[in-house]
Amino acid sequence: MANNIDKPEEKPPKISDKIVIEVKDLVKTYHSGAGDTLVLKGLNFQIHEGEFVSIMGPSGSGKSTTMHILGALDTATSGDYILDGVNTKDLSEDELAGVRSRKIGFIFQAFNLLAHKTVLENVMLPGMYGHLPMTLRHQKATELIKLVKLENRAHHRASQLSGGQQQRVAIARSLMMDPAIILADEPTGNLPTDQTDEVLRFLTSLNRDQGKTIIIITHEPAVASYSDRTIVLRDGVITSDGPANRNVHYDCA
Amino acid sequence: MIALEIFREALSSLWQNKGRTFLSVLGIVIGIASVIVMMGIGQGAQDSITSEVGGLGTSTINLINMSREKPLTLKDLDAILANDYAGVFSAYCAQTQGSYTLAAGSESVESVSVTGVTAGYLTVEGKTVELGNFFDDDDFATGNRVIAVGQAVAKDIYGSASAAIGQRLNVGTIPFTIVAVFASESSSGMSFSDPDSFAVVPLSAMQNSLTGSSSLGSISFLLTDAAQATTAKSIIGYTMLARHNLTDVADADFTIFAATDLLEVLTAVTGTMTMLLSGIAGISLVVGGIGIMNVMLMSVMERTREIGLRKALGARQITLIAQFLFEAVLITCLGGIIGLLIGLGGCTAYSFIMTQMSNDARAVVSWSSVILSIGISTAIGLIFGIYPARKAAKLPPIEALRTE
Repeated sequence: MANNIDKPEEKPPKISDKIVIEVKDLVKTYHSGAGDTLVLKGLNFQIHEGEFVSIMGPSGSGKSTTMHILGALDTATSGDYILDGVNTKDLSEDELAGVRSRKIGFIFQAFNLLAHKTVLENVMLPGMYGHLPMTLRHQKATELIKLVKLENRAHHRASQLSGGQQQRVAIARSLMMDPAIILADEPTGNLPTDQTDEVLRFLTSLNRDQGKTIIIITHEPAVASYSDRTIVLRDGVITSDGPANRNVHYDCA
Repeated sequence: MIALEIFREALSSLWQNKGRTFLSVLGIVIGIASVIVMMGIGQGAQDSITSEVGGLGTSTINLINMSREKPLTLKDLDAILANDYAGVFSAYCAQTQGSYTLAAGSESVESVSVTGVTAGYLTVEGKTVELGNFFDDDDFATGNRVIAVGQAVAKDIYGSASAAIGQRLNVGTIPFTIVAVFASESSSGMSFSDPDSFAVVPLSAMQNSLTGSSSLGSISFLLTDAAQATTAKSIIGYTMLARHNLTDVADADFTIFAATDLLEVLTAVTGTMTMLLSGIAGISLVVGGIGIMNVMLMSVMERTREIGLRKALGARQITLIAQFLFEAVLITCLGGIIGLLIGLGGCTAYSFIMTQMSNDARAVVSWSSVILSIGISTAIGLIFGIYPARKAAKLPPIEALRTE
């Protein structure tokens, strides 16, 4: 049924020489009562500015942990993660908050909007933590809401929107501080198929038109097929890293 | 700027949980209201005691006879005055008191206090004559049987003050002539007798016609300066010790009493009572504070995901601490203000009920207790809010986001 969805592949990505993400020998161990669990066993990869990358793997492969470290939400046990030229190992808790504020835009599977706030307020929220002046914040949020085509919903509460609409709000929010990288963790996991395509097309256009580096975490080949490059993880190691298979469609995923 | 916005975030999140906010405010309301009322009642009691004792004259010192063998006499007074080189005494009055039946015609009043006094009486005791003329020098010197009576005596026997002037009045069996009626005095909460039921005669008349003795009940001294009470007490004390051939103060067969001493003791007592009452009320504040802490901790647990999201969006620890502290302080301040208003209402109600019961006691709210209660409620918010706020700020963002 969705077989005939055309992916916006005609436009090639504009990938620059600049490396925005560099991961060297990244190791993550979780400590628990039952002993230590080695989740990431030494990852190495680089992502250039303007790339659209998917990180795939089954559950337990370490893809979520990778995402958290890339998003500066968590730190590696050993190895280096250099984000935009800065080794995050050396950063304090507050400096990491600054990195999250300015360099990274997050999109989550569960949308994570503040349900009682309006669409506009949700989109503006990162601006508060990023110390944008109120007028600029308002103006920018209005533009972003227009970009995700929700201008007639700006003053609705987030809880009144459909899943796809909520995820579009989340996309607008992730762009508020104009970050270099957008990290999307299973962004379509909670969406029906028709809204999935809409959200993924949106991310693609951000990559193609605005040159945003996009990293998408997914276990669905169909979702990964929108990207240009796929890194596959299994049991904490990279098993393949290469061009994405763009010929996967929903009903055959 | 940013603080204002964090404040707004705090306000909106309290608004989201109106029910919970209301319940936690309630704890502080009760605490602050009870502190205000307790402090008000205590302060009121203190004020009333101060004014009562102040009525006794804080600048008077009384030398009271305690001995049958060596009774106080006018010679003692002369000796004390002779030793007053510094001039600390501005007036004095020797007195001796007895209880007599006053009668005229068929009317009589039993057990009226009749005091024989010397010339300084009006000044030292602060009395005013309403009708007639008080005793003259001749009356004091020769022991003329003249008498000045209080309003109650005049009314009970003659029907009115004006009808009493010039009338004969028997003190026991001895006839006196009424020359003056004192002005009415307001009832004091401390004594149960009618303050207008008394009579005064010249000391000489008292000694010659009624007691037949030269001994005095007491001598009252008025001080030129209340600050000289200590000097005055030493002059009186050492003169009397010397006259009674005593060297040890412990053997003294007389008592020196200053109203200021009483005031100090009573102030200390009511102060302790106020502290005690406020302390008990303060316990409810601590309980309220712990309630706030519980509510805030619960709020942090419920909002783990929201906190994680805020962190992911770039909120720094200090920003989150500020938001949760603002929430706690807003709850306690609101509770403080409402509690203050209820406390003020409680004090007014207390004063009203006491007035209805013809009691002098009032609840007085001072500015200091208003400022204190607002200060305390803010402090409670800060103290009991800091732990939940830090807990929120320290939540690892991934753990927070993982929570479903």
